[in-house]
Amino acid sequence: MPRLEIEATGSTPEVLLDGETRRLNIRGICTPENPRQFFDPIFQAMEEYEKNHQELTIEICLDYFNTGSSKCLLNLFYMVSNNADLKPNTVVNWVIEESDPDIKESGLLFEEITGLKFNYPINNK
Amino acid sequence: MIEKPKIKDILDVIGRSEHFTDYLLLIYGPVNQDVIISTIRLAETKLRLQQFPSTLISRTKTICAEILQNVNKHQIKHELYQPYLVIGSQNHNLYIYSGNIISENSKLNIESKLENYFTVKEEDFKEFYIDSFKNSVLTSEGNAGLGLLDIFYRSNRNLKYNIVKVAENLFSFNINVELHHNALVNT
Repeated sequence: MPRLEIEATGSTPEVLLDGETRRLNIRGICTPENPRQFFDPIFQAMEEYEKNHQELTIEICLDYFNTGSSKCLLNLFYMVSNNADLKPNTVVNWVIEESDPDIKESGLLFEEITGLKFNYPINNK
Repeated sequence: MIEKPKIKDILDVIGRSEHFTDYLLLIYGPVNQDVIISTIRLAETKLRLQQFPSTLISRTKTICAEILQNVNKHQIKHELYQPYLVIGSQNHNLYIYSGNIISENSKLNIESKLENYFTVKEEDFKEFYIDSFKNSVLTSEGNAGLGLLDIFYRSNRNLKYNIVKVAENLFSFNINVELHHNALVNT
């Protein structure tokens, strides 16, 4: 079962891709100096995951993120939405703060561009 | 003890603009990733202490992160002119002022982008923002070239800038962003 674990740092979120639970969780702050470098292992793990799985729950809970990371997240969502096997069985939970409309707006933007359906659960940390 | 006379100059210049009366945070000197992380944390703490609404705090963090990452990527070391970032407030509005030294190539790039953004009509800007986001390409260094656009968009186009020549092929790029409390709480 493919598994990727990345610990959070001051500028990057914790990441867990777990083939067993079929979940990809990204949680924290995402402002790496080079977002591409940070996201590359996630893309590689996702490519591996897609070969063997047809369902995935993506849960993204970000306090804030920079534009480079935003572009990487878009590429991640493109990856899922372009995979015919995975797309119908993918759930995206874009976790929001009630008091922060910006994060929800970003989710709506990704949803509009990729055609994926997002849920917007409230963060109950 | 502050030895660099430029800090006083910065405060004088900003003070003359009379946009805000309360200084909340001033960062002066070279910027790296650690400075960015610490600045965002400090800004959040200061704004929470002053009981600013979460919407305004969140947007300030995002904008400061973009500004400082641009500074980090494009700053040129100079004896006299150091990067700065100031956050101030007046009447519940927030003001973010920043400046750094850039090359002529960066100057041309910034001017071209910002002049283009200002030509887009307000009602068309969201579509322009989405198209730019969709069509941007991430470089191997992880630059999407969207930082200024994001600042422009998130400030509801309340962005002013100037670029002043300070030496041969060196320019001081100063950016002023206003976040209006009323505009944000109604979004």
